[in-house]
Amino acid sequence: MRRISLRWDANTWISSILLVLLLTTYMVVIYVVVVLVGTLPFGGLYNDFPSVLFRVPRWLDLISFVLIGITLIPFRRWLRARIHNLVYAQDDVPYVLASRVTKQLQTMTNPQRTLPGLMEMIAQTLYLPYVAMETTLSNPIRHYSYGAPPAGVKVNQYAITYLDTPIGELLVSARTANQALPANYITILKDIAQQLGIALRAAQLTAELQASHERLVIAREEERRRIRNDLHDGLAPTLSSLQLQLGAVRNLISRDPEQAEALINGLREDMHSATAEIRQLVYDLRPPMLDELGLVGAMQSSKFQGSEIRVEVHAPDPLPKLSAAVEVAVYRIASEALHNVIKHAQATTCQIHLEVDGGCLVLKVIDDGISLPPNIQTGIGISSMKERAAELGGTLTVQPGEPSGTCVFARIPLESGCMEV
Amino acid sequence: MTHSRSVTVAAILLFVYNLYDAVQTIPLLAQGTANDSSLNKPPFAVSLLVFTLAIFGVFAAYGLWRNAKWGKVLGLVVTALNILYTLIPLLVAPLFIKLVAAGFIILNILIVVLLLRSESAPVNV
Repeated sequence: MRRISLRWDANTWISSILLVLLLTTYMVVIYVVVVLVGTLPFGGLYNDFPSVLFRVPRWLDLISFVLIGITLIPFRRWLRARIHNLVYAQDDVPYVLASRVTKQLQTMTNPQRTLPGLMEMIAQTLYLPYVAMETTLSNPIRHYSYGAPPAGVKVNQYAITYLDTPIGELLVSARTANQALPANYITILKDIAQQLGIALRAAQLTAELQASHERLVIAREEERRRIRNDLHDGLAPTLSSLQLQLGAVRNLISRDPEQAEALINGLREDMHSATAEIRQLVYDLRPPMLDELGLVGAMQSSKFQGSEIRVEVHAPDPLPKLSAAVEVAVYRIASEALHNVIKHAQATTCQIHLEVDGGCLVLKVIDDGISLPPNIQTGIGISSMKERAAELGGTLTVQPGEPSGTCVFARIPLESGCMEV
Repeated sequence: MTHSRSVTVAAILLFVYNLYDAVQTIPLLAQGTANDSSLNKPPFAVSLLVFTLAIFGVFAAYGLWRNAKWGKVLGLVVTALNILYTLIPLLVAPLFIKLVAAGFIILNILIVVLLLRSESAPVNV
């Protein structure tokens, strides 16, 4: 950590010279006044200066030295504080600092690069030996600092908050142990702490957005790779095999028609399984029923519901136009929730409710079976439902139903930015 | 720009005192080094120093009036030096001169107090 060296600073020289000059003047005035008062009853002193100083009685010297000795230290303390304020506290410094801090924070995208320089700038503008900040937005807690507090000097703390939530602290020390910060410095430091809160939160959101973009790209590329592998490892060999068998059929059809016919029957089965494989691939990309029947129709179809329990779908008519991403997410969440009900809930009925509330699509899947145990560990199914909702900026919770059973509650914004903060 | 009352009063006092000082040393400077050994006349070098100090004092008063930091620093330096050289007649001059010198010293001490008093007191956090 770098330390501010105040020793060779111009302001330090000015305050030292002023202190020495005024202390010297004080001591000389005390001495002269004591000598004057002491010699007045005896007619005073009327000789040339400086020879007159050698004629001053020694007891007067002693009295003046004692008086100076008693009063010098308190006077020096008072004088030093005033001179420090005169030399270091300027009226326009807080405004200059606020302007510089605002400029730096406006362009801050990476706090780890910007904040150390910001601490240095605050310290040098206010002539402070130590300025630091801690932020709890990241894990572990990050600490940025400039300089070090002098020994015995109290470090003042100013809370950094965002929407009334503490997210860090600004730490500042005074210059010396017996000197506190001027009132205008304290005001500007509190304002800077508020600005830091907003800037840190903005930087965190930017970082999260970037990470989210990267996850999206990774997920897209993973999906493409999965499809490529499915096609390459599954469908392509099947089609190649069909091609070879067709070649064999052509060769056999004139020489051995019966064997050719058997081969053709085998080919039909292979074609059937290849078609099923293609259908599954297509289904994994997007369920065809969504395009054919719409979201509500797809949920009401027998293929979605199965035959194990009775499923009721309640939705507004007409349902607002939904984006493809929202449709697929809601469909998959409802499908997974229904699958869990059938597998675990021992229910007889399951109700699926769709509502539009405040720019969000609300999905509730409620069953009348047994409730979830209180401390159940989240499995892959619930995790994947939550991820699907979170990908679109939504939320998903699993809570006990009334009077029994379980309720899966998902809230997904119809447009980005509609979710409450 | 706002003047604190202390700084305003200090600027006026500093201006008046140093203007008087400058004006009263002009005749002494005009005499040059003649009669430098006379007891009734300070040496030419001292008169020149006092005159120079008085000019700086006038500039400091201007700086104080503009509420500039340099004005306060220069004002304190000039006033401290004024006190130091005014102590000599206070010590050795006849009674009447002693009284005048005492008055001037009190005036300069008042200026110093006004300048230092104008700074905001430290705040305990």
